[in-house]
Amino acid sequence: MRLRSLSAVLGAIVVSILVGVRLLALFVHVDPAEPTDAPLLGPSSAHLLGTDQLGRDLLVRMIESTEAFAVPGLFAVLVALLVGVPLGAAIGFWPRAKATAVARLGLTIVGAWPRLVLVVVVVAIFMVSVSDPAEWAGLRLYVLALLVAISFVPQLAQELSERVLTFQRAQFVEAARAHGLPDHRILFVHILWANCRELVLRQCCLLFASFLLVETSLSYLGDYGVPPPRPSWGNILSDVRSQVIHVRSLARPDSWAPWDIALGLERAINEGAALALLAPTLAIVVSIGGLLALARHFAETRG
Amino acid sequence: MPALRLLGRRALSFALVVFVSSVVFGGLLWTVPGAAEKAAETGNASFLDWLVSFWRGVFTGDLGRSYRGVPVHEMVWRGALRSLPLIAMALILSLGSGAVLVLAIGDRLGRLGRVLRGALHALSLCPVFLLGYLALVLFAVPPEGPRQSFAAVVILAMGDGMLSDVLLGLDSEYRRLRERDFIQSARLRGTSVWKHVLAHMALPVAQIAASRTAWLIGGVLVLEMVLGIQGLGLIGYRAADTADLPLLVAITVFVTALVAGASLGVDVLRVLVDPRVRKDRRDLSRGVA
Repeated sequence: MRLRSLSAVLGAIVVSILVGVRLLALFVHVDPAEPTDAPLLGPSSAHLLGTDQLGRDLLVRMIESTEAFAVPGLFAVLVALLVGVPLGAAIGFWPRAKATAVARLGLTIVGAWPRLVLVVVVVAIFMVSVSDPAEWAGLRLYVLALLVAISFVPQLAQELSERVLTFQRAQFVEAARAHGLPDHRILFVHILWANCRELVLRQCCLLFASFLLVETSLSYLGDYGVPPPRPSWGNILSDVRSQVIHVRSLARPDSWAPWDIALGLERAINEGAALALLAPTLAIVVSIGGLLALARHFAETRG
Repeated sequence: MPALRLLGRRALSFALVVFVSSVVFGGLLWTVPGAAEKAAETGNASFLDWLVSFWRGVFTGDLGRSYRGVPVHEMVWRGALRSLPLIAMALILSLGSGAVLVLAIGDRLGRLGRVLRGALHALSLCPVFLLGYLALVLFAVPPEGPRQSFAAVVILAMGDGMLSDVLLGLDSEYRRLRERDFIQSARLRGTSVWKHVLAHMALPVAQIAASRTAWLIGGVLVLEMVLGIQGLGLIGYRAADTADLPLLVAITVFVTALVAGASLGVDVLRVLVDPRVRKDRRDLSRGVA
């Protein structure tokens, strides 16, 4: 199997699983915030991944966590497409227009803002400005998605404009012009749709992975991501941190020796913290890996 | 001197980026309830007054006091002294290990090399916060000291796709370079190609470093929170919690200047190493973010 198709298969499997889990979450009628059993239980038939430190079913929380990034992530992709594609296409197709210079400068300015810095500053302002932050907690993820999308627009527009620019003097474009086709038809049908859609799809995968990264990072840090008790893979890790560190500290915290680490892990498994550590860790890494594999497939499709 | 004129334009663009960033972030923070009143206490009745006072402070080295009463320039300086070495060391480690893997080892290790690269790519997929978390819970990284700094540098050099990007970028540039006529000719003549390879790889390496600076700053912000490092990220995060206008604007403008400065640095390097750019201005605009 060639690597190109392997990337596609891996990416497609991961994306299908994510979609499947999100759909499954619609049929789960257990409140992920409510304790259902004793805390820190190991895996059993009643709780396949065990329970967390508050006695909440870990599997339900893992499934419900997809709510935190699925729709907001798609919202981020939609915003970036609506802004970035027309902007990149226009910059590439009319490179000498005055408006293009202004747009380029705007993209340079936004591109110089580190994504996480922009997100943290603006979400902090949003949270301080609203009278009741808890009431706006649901909207916070969409603000986050909007900011990730804005910070991603320069990257999307830059790559797209470079691609459009290479096609601007291509023979088929000259031929289309000679046949009297209008500019917008040449741009949208013959350049963007026929020759740039893989690039746009690749950027969509990268943006979704970026949003997942930002959401889980901020949820882990606590203040600007998914507000507890709503679950996110990031805050599941954060919730169990003290438990894992406690268990680890019992097993020689100053030691880096493999047997001490193994002893700490064994105690963590026995005390139920290991799965709460492993499940979100694997979920985050596999999801980001799958999205990047799909992005790579789209990058290779057009050489 | 076309090169000087072009660099002048880039420098102007850099200044504009930094200034507009101060206006945008300052303006956003000005809308926070109570910010205008607090600014008025320091003699800045309007946003324009505050902006003028901020930029006067940038040039005189006095950015006023944060809401906690500590001089802002001191806090930014203290944070930068912790964060910037981590960023620089992470860049060096990532680019250095990438260069060793691509240039020195290349395809020599066969299947073992591919497995090693695959493992590094997989590890590099981990977000920085996750690597920091695992380092904390599995290896009990202490709250300060050289072990903490070492862990932070390694995590930043690998996480958030850093090493993966470096490997892919260097690999593609090196493969492209190997196919060039002058390298093939040097090989056929039996002379060493390393001098030419290194000279031609300097620019792509600088471009990769510049393009990853913004990511690294984001990574530092998260990692400092996870490991408790008293750097720009932690100071900025706490300032965001209290919507501390003077401190937050100073930090955001500082990191924006850092990212824009890295891009400007690549342009300077391009003018220095590529004689074509000194003659043809179109080459400079190609591929510059």
